[in-house]
Amino acid sequence: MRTGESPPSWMEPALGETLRALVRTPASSALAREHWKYTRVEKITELLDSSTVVLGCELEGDAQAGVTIVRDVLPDAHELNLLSTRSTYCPATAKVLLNVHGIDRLVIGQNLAEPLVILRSDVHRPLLVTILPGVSASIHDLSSSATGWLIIEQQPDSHLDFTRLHTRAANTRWHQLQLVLNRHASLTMQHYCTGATFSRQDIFVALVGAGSSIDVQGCWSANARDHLDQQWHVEHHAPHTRSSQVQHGIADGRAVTTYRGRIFIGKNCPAVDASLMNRNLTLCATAVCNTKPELEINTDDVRCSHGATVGQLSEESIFYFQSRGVDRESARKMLAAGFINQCLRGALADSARLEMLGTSSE
Amino acid sequence: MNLLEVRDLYANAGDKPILKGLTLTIAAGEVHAMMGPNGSGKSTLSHVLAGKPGYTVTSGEVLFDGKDLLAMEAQERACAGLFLAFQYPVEIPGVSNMEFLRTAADARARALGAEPPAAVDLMRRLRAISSELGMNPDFLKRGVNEGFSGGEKKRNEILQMSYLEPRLAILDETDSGLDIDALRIVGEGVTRYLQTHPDSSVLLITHYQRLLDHIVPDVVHVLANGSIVESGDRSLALKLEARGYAWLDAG
Repeated sequence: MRTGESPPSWMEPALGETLRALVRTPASSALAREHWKYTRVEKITELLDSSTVVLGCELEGDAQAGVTIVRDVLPDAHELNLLSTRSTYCPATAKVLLNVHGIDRLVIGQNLAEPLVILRSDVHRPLLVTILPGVSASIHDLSSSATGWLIIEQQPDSHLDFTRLHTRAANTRWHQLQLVLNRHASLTMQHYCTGATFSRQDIFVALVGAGSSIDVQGCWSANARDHLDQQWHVEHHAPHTRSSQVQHGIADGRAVTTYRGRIFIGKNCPAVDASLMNRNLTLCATAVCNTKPELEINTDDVRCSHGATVGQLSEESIFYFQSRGVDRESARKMLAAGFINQCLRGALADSARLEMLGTSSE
Repeated sequence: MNLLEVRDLYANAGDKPILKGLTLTIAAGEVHAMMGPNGSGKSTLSHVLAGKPGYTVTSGEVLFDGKDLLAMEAQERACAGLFLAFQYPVEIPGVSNMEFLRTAADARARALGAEPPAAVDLMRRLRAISSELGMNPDFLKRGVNEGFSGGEKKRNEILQMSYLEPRLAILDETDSGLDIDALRIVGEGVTRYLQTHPDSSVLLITHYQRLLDHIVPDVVHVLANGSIVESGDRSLALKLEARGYAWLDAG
């Protein structure tokens, strides 16, 4: 199917199957029930129903040396396995979907001079990025589309500096992200997003190669009647792997935010080091923050820590500002900004601050 | 001219009466030390004067430069020239010291109808003050009090005081947690401030006379059970140091 076209009628059964499979998913297992605890899966199927036009991805920086892209191709067996193994779709559904729509295949074969920027992604035709061994790259995912499906496979000894900034450009959103790290691959990730009327992020990280590591700093803000549900799965499938997450979220108005951080450590994975900290700030009594760190550990000899907090602005801190002449409302704004600032870093920190707080710099 | 006049002040912390008829007058340019045993109401007095929530004034009045201090919000009191150096300064991660002080200076300038200070002037001045206080200027980029030792926090309070140039600084047990050198540096910082701001006043709240070796008070008060029971010159502090507070009960 060519970009921009609606699916032909012969595809309808496959799409229908996809949607039905999604609807069935919550009841299929305890894990799946948890996955859909705070978002009705019907919201996803409605979103898919309303956006069946396949557009593929839109990129910047894909013409630079070292980047090769082939659009609208059927995945090979390895890619199909990669795409369907860890996904919100059940594997069979993913395979059907991928064989219908194909993928956009992008390979980064040498160190990039400038970041590869993703401006739009598409859940119907995923973008699969492969970073070849030893290559260092930077990717900015600024996708403004309602849906997205991005898979990044890092081959051995590669390094990725990955920043996601998802704003409320699309007021209804569902994005899937899968990250697969092979031997000694390292990933530094900045994850920033704002709420939306409906927003769901499904993020799967698989550390499949020994010595691979991921370091995540993330923050988000939601207000009004936003719904922001983030499901993070970090899976350690190899020894000597390391994951670190520090994520801060703010909820105001009648927003409901959910962060589920699942860490899985497989069998025979000694010397794994995994940590997770999620702090949440509710700016008023009507905002809701759900947070649930989960650990599933199947190997002894690992170090694993997690923590989660939900709190309000400290009156003591507000008074400290007031005692220096700053009014209460300004103090609240600065304290909220400080909470977010703790998780901002890298090239897009200012943009993220602007999106989340309405202020551009410290 | 009297800068602060506290008249027959009664105040509760929560529901508990703490201040019971406290009267205190501080003239412009004076240094007063407030001493007293634990639980006598020293910190409550500082909090009530600064406008901290959780305290209720049940009777009495407080005039600051002739204006009703108790009618002002906490930030209005600060903009009018009252400064509280906290006994336990809070940490504010993610907000740098520089940003914090710039915001405070801007707020104060707005309240006074003045131009906010230029960023370069603010930076230059803060670097100079931090140098005087023996602080590494890099701390200005760090979060407010974030990861600071107890002594660093207290020095930071004095730095803020020196930059914001209050007319009345209340130092609430600023000497607690300071080693000998830090105590000297803080004492010298306050003394330097008073020398360059001769119309400014200081109310020192302390348990010990050792800070008074560095900041010489004009008047020493003893606070007990919510009211001032004795006032005198510096020799009163020395007497308290030697004899404790028990002799006050004996009359």
